[in-house]
Amino acid sequence: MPDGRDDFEAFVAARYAALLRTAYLLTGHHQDAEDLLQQTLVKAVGAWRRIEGDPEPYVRTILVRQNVSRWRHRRWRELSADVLPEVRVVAEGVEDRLALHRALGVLAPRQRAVIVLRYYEDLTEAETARALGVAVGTVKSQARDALRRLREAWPELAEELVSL
Amino acid sequence: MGSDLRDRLDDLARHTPPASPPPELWSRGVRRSRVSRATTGALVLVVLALLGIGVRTWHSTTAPQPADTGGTVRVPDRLFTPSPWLKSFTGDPGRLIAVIPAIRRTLRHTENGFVGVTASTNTYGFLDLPGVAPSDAVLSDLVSLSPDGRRLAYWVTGGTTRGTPHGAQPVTGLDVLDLVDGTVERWRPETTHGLAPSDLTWAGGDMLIFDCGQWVKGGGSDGGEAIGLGARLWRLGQDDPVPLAQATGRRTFGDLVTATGHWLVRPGSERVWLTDLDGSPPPRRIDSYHADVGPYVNPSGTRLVGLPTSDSLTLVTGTVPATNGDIGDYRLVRVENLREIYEIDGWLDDDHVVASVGLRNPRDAALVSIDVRSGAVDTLIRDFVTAQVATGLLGTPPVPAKAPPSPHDPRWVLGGALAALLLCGLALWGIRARRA
Repeated sequence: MPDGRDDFEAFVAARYAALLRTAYLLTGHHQDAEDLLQQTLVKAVGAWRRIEGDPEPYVRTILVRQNVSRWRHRRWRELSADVLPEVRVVAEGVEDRLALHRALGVLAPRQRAVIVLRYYEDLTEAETARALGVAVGTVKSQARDALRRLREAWPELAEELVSL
Repeated sequence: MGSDLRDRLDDLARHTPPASPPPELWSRGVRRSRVSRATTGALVLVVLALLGIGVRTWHSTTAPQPADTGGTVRVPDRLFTPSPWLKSFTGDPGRLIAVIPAIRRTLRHTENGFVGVTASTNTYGFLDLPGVAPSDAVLSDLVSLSPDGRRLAYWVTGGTTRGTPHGAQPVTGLDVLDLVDGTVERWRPETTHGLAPSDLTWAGGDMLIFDCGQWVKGGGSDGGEAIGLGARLWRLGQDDPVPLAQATGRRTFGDLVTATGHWLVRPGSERVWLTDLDGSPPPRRIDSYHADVGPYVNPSGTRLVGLPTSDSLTLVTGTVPATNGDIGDYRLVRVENLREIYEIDGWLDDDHVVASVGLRNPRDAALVSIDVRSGAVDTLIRDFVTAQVATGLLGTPPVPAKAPPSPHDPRWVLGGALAALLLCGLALWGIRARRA
C-alpha cells in the first residue's frame, strides 16, 4: 500500500472511537458525528504525508473547523425546534446526560468547540486557539460566554461551573 | 451533581454508540485529494489566464516605444484602423510613413486625434500635439505630414490678442514638429479674433505653404467673414512665413497652389504658372492646359498631371515647355481597373503619381502608383484607410504589414476579469459547500 495507507488505517483503527466521542460532543448527534468524523479523516488523507508523525492535532483541527463549517452551511436548511423531543429515562444518569446534551445545544458551534476542547480534550487555551484558528483571547472570551450560557441553560450546573 | 464538567462531558461522550470506521476512507481521501488538486489547478489556470489577458491588454495599451530613427524605411503593404485605446509614443517617434486621423479615448474623454505610423518599424501610436486646434476650426487639413515623413505641421489654438475669439477655441498659430528630434517651430501672428486657415501643404521637406486670413468678428464658430487671405511660404529654420507673392517676386499669388519639391504650381484659367522656389529660372507660363483638380508637377518640373471633375478615372497630363508656351504632348490617360481616383498625393518618380483610389469593390480603397504615360496601376498600400502618407518614402517595395495592438476598452477588460474571478470564487465556494 503506497503513501502511508497502513499508518493511516492503523491510526483510524486506534483512534476512531475516541475521535467519534469528540465528534459527538461537538455535534450532539450520533449520525452527524459519524459523518463529521469520516469527512475529517477523508480530508486528512490529502495531508497525511505532512502529519504522519503526529496526526491527531491536525485531525482534531479539521474536526472542529469542519463542524463549524457544516453548521454554517446547514443551519439555513434545517428547522430548529424550541422544544426537544421527549426522551424516556431508562437508566441511571441519563437525566444528567440529557441535561448536558440540551445545555450544549444552546451553544454556538465555536463556543461548543471551545468547551469540548478545553474541558473534554484537556487542551490548553493556546492549543485550543490553534485548533480553532483563532486568538487565545478569543478562546477566553468564547469560553466565558459559553459557560455563562451553560449556567443559564442548566441552572443545576451553575454551582460546579463557578469554579471553572 | 458531584461531578464537574469534565466528568459530565466524559460521561456523555462514553455513551456514544460504538461504530467501526468504514473500510474505504483512504480511497475516498485519495480521490478527494485528486479532485481537489485538479480543481485548484484549474482555478489557478483560470486566474493565470485572466492575469495573462490583463497583462497583455495592459501591455498593448502601454505607450509604444520611440521607433528607430535611423534611415531604415519599411513601407507597409496595408494600413490598419487604430484602436481608440492605443497609447501615445513615449518619445519622439522618428520619421512617419503615415498619419491617420482617429478617434482617441481615455477613461474620461473621447476626442479626435492622429495616429502616427513610424517609417522604420511601422509602430502605431497617438501623436501628442500640444495645443492642436479642434478639427471644426479649420477648413482644410488640420495637420500635414511632410513628404519625407520628418515634420508634421498643425494648426494650434490659444488666446486671441485683443478681441472676442472666433469660436471657443480659435486658431491662433501654426506649429511644425520635428518628429526626429522633437523641436517645434512656431508661428504666432497677431490676431484679433483668430485665424481662418484654408490650406496647408508642403513644398519638399523644408518649406511649408499655407493660406489663412483673419476673422473679422468673434463669437460663434459657424462661418463668418475672413480678410487677408493669401498663400504664405515658410522656409523652416530660416525666417517667419512671408506672403508667397513676395517670396516668388510676383504681385499676387492668392490662388490655391500645389507643390512638388520646390516646384510650385499655380493654376489659372486655361494656363498654369510654374515657379521654382529656389529662384531660378523665372516662373514659366504654360498655356492650353486646364485640370479641375491640381495640376501637380513631377519632381523634375517637366510634366503636369491633373484630374477633371467630369471623369474620375482620367488623368490630364502633358509636358512642361522649356519656356513660356503651350503644354506639350497633351493627353488624357484613362486608368482601368479602378472605381475612382480620389486624390493625387505625390509622386513616386517623374512618370508615376501616387494616388489614393477606390477599387472595384466600393468598400475597398488603396494607395497606388499610376504610370502617367500609360495609366498602368501598381498597388502600394492595400486596405488604405484615410491617411496622409509620406510620399517621399514610398520608393522601396512594400513589405507585409503587421497589425498594431488593438487594445479593448480597459473598463470592459477589468469588468470581465472581475466577473470571471467572481464566478471562479462562486464555483469554488459551491464546490466546497457541496463537499462540506
